[in-house]
Amino acid sequence: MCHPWLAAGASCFIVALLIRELSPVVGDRSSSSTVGESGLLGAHLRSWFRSRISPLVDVLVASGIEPNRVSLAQLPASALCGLAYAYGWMFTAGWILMAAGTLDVLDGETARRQGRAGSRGAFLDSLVDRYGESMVFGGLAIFYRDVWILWGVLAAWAGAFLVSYARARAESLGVDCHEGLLQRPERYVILGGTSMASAVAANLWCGGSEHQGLMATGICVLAVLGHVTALQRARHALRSLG
Amino acid sequence: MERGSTFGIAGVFLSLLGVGLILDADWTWPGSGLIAAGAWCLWKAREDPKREGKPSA
Repeated sequence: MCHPWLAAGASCFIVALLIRELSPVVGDRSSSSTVGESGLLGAHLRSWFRSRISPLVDVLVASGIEPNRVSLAQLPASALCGLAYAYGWMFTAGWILMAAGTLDVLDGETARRQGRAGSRGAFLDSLVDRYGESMVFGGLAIFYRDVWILWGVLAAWAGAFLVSYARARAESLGVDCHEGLLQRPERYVILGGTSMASAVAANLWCGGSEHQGLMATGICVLAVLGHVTALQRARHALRSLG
Repeated sequence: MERGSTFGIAGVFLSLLGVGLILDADWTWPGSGLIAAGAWCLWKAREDPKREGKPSA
């Protein structure tokens, strides 16, 4: 069933929220931030997001929850997200992806505030992220198994892994490698945002679940930018290694 | 930078989850309940004293 009025209301709510929250941040960003280590989103947007979720960090710190448990909570969230994608529940999947992305930020912030940040947690976090991404892209691959977009999903999946691999390999050789347009937060925003937007568009125009042009565009952007980022990191590492 | 509030975060997440459940799965009543809970949280966020005057983390 199609829900054009709810979709219209939801899009008005989201647009109003984005304008209210982001207009001061974007104004600041244009004056002082650069794309580089902080990715497409920039340092200002990242620090805005961290400040917005700081009450959740307070709650986690006060309750004494181990940051590793917050990291591990991403696994069931990502599994649910993959399932939602596999069933074509695009808006819900995008929402769960954003929630999983928030958990990804919360674990690090909580660890730092509790004085528990260390290499063990960082390793677990990276491992959980890769499993989480696999579940999400796996769900998308199931949903698009019969159409050309599957190739985009596989390319985006490979790109996401190559971005992480390039950094991990460079850092194992002693090169600091945080560069790149498309880091994890950007992936969450692009995939989550286009998922929600495509579901809203499908309901606004009552096009049914086949109307996923926005989603296909988001996946193709992810695929291209993922590989561009991996190459950026490779170039940076090769230059640093002489 | 201005801090968020717990109610504000809960409000945005609950209302969007409610919208998702209705748009994707036609779960009208659970979705409407979540939207209502989210709207209540957003209303409470406006009067959350913790938000006033605190610096960013």
